[in-house]
Amino acid sequence: MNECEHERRHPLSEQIKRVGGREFRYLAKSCESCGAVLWNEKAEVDFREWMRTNREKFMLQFSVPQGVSMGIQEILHRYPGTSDSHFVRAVLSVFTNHIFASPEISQNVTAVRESIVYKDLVADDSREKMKVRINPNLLEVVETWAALVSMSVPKFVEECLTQIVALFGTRGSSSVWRDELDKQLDLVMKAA
Amino acid sequence: MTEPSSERHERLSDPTLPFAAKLKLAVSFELEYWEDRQHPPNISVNVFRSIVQLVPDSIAPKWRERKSVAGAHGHSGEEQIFNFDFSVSAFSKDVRFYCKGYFFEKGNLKGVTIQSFRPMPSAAVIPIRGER
Repeated sequence: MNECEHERRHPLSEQIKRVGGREFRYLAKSCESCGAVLWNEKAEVDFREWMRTNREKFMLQFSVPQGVSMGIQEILHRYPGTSDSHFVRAVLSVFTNHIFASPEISQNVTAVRESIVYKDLVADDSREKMKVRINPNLLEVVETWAALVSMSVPKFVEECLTQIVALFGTRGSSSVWRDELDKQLDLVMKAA
Repeated sequence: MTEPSSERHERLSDPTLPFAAKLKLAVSFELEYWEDRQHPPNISVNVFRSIVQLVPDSIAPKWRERKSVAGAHGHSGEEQIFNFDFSVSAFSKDVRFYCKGYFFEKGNLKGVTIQSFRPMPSAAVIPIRGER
């Protein structure tokens, strides 16, 4: 595999970064050998400003089985004043920042797919469409993870939500990983 | 983060600081990142910032002498380059990442340059219903 150390540089030229179907244009140097683009503090500052001014434009559309949608509404009773948009963003954040970080938690969460609750949820053919606002940072993270696990973005989101709803539905005896997961979800939801 | 340069250096050059903690701290201070490489593709800088937080505390990188002087810190960065790989588990899929870079500035540490950050060929996957 190419282990380019980017020794041959092009001068500044316009670059395009695509997030959620939108384009951020910026000036940066690139490597003549491999085409890599050098992201630096200036690009970072400009990108943050671009995200700030465009944050209302990024939407996530997907559908979930009816039972998952109902499960989300039930869980939301724990967090007065929040919406399903908050919950979707919180769940995606917890998966990408915490669940995937720990092989033990990740395996335990994924094991819920063997539960009757999960199987009943995904067996339901009636579906509910959902559309939530999402910040471009999280959207790009979700797009990348979806590609890494060979799923479409809507399927990835659906899978995260279904696993969490199934976990709440199969709540049994407390365990370290489940308590940790609850704590993380609580933190993100209460910060919403 | 807006810590004074001397404080950044003091924290990043702490010999008791494990490598993973040093890397995460350097990323939070100042990051120079090569992205959009096509062969093989690097993961975007935004996603790198998220995934680097998943690097295990116990990671032990390999070190070798750096050849490249490209980038804003190419001449002033540390002469040793690090590389390591680590894996995370996502939906029963083992996703492995490769990372290569160096810290800067030599003698006055304040950030890190990442030359490569990309997923590596992966292992077995347990299929999920409806998966593409």
